[in-house]
Amino acid sequence: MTSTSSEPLLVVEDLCIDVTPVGDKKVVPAVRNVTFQVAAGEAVGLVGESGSGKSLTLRTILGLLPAGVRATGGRVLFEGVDLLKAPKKTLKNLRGTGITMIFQEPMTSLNPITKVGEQIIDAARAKHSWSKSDARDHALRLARHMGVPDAENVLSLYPHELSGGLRQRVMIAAALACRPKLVLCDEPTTALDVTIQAQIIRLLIELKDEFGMSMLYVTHDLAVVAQLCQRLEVMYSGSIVESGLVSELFREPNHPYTQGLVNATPDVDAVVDLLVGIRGNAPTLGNWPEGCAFHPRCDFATEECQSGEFPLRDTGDGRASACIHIDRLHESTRQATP
Amino acid sequence: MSENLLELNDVTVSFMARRGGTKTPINAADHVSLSVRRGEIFGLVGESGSGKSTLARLIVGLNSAASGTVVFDGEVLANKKRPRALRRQIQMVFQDPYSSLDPSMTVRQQLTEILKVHDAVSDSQRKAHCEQVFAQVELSPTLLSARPRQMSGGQRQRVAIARALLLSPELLVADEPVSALDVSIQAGIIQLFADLRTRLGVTIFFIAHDLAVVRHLCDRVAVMYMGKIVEEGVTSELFANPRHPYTRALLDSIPRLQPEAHEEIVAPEGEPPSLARLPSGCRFRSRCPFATEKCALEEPPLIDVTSSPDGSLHRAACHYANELEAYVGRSSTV
Amino acid sequence: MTDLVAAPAPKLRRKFRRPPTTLIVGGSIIGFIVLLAIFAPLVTSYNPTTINLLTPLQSPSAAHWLGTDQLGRDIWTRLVYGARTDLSVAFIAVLTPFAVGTVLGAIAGYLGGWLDNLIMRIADVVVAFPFYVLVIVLVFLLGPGTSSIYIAISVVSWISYARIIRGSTLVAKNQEYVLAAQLQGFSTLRIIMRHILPNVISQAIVFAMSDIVNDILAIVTLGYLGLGIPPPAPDWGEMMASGQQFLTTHWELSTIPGFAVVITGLGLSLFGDGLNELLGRN
Repeated sequence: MTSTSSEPLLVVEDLCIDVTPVGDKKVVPAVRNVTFQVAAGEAVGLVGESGSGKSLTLRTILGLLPAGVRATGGRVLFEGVDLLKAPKKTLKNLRGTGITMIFQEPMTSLNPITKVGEQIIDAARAKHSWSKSDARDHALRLARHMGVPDAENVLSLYPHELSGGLRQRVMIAAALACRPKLVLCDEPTTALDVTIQAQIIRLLIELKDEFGMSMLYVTHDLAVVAQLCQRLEVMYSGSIVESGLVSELFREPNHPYTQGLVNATPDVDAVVDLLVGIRGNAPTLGNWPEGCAFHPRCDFATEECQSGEFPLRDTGDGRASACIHIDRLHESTRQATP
Repeated sequence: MSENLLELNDVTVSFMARRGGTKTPINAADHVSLSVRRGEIFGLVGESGSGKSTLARLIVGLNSAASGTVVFDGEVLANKKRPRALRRQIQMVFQDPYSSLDPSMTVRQQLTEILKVHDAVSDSQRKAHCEQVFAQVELSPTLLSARPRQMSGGQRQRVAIARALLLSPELLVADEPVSALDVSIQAGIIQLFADLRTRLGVTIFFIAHDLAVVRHLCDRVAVMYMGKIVEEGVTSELFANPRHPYTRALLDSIPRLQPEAHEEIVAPEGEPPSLARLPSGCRFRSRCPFATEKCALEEPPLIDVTSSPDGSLHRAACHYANELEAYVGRSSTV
Repeated sequence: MTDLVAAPAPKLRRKFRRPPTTLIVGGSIIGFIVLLAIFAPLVTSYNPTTINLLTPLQSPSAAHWLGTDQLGRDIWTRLVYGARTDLSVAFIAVLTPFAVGTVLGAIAGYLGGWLDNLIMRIADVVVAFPFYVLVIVLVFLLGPGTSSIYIAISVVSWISYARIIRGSTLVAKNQEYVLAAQLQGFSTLRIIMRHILPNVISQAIVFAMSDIVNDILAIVTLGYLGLGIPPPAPDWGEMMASGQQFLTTHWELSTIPGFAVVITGLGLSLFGDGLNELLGRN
């Protein structure tokens, strides 16, 4: 499918999200000034560890924030419409054909008391006025397409009767029943066994190519992003610290945090023997350090890093980084690899 | 002193599982034999349903074996009722740092309780001992006064390791100790295990679902599938030359950080069967690209694989283990 | 790497968070009533039991803030001393079922098996009878008196605690820290007392708050039926009963103690809600 416009499908601009912890009056920032884009037909990864704000960023797009969490600034433009300011009706219309979401734990996102076939049918009929039998055929075809074996029988089962992998396939079928333009993925493979994860990743790649849809994929797993996405944004403590093409970013990171993540990711091919973590701990919500949030854990930090703002800056070739000491980082990496 | 600190001899652990309205017995671990040498780090890898956690709990005495024996330092272990002295020797680190520490007690209280119950160290020495163990896991002694909820996942896991080291055990069983941690913290914990083996000489039985983690840490590895060991060998050998189709499938499934542009992810077909209704013959045959009729008729035993260059033990439970073509793998650096 | 991984935990001191509103409001109400009860002699100079047939059924005045009853006793005084009686009996009446129920529930939940079955089946039998029927019958059989009230309430109330604690114990015993304790070879007693109970008991405490309300109502009801705390001790229930005959002329004799029961119950409920919320935060 070709896109009809060269405008990006999704534009997130200076998004800020605040959290009010229960019983507290104090408001704590969880995401600040996050800016990125997703083009039509593109898969973009949003990578970070716990506390990075990646899940909140994703959920803001569809307005799925829990109580006490609010988007307090910025814009989320989908096909030009600001979702943060749009009336509820607009958002409702968007769901299904415009944007859908796939969640991490299918056991809690599928209705436990409804047969899975019904759930796919419901998703389809929400947007198209199909007859029940037409919708049922569509659901069957969709399920088979998702690789559900023995689809006729499986669709008449309840979610708890299916394995994790099958549940995930069903959820993907329901999410794609209306051919959305953008699929938001909130760590859909994290709870799956590695062989099943591989199947789901392959499925998502195939579907993306076939349906021409865009994906925004949130995960903590760098390697999964490497398989699935063309570009990625790395988040740390509520901000994007690096962004760029997957193929280049992992080969030569432009931010010490990204480098740290790469160094810490276990390598099954054991090209490197040494697994090095990042010292210290990620700051908890409300305890972000002054200046660059990463500087207490950074080997290249200087006094300049301890105060001020560190927005993303273009480093050329479609890449950007928030770090002001990229040269020191590269120098050190060059020295480390003989 | 035997060379093998731990031996599992043909152990079977079974549970009653409820399917629909009826209860059927399933063997979470089915006739498993393996041995762990003193001072080594032994890795056990498998996906869900493989039985790896069941074995871990069997070793530390939280489960009983329906048949077979667990031999520790030459002595056959009783199932659940073990003498306290024995319990000091085998300790465990659990997977979830958020539930493996008692939320209502401070760290110091939890550690001291263990010392008190085992009467391991005199009253006056307890404080010093706790601080010493804390130093071994690279934690500042100020955290002794903290409660679990005030600490991060990585810190809690280090506390859990400290707790396991308190009584100077000979065997440390670690049940997926890094699975619940962020990757940047994970590396530190893995390195800690390696250091502990070097410094303290403790034997480590390390369970993981992630082959990549195991590669960095373990001397020998065993792979489990549906309750059985399907392959076992020295780490470098097993990764270079996997001889069981499931091991290969696992290796292929793992996403790589830098896949070559033209490479696709390779995924094994199908779903694992239910433990209550296993296929005849080889359990992996429903998903195996090399399966033949023989695989449906006969369950393959663990046989020696003849190609290990240094003569070390390498076994695989496949009829065609020795006939599979050489594994090329996904990395082009083979 | 000797770099100590845990640079001191960010803050070991707890951050102060404002307690829930319900806790503050409920606590204030109950606190106020309790203070009145404790300092009864200071807020009134009358004796609650002194009869004065010269001044019956008087309207509220400067001398008698809420008037007098049919025997000339000052109502405000009887109200305040009644609070003493009723609150203290209710509070003590809650303790035994709380203790017994919690322990039995923890044992049933942790050990399971025949013991669990036995305890739960006994509970089922007792609970098949309506609460008040059992309590009244028991007090009647044991003869009226404060100790009969304690016994009757205990026999019936322990069950709720047992069920609540049993449920929480079933969940707690699968937590890894309990497994870790078992692994260390800790005795069952130690595991239940030091590792399970401290983590589940908050549920029972919260329930106890509403149970006190139940007990106050029970005591008041018993008093109304003439089976309550024996006279001459002032008791809101007895006040309501004896004031009945004057409902059309002096409705305040029955209504005021009734009102006191309602406010006390409200305060305790709010406090219990607040406690639930506070403990749930952790």
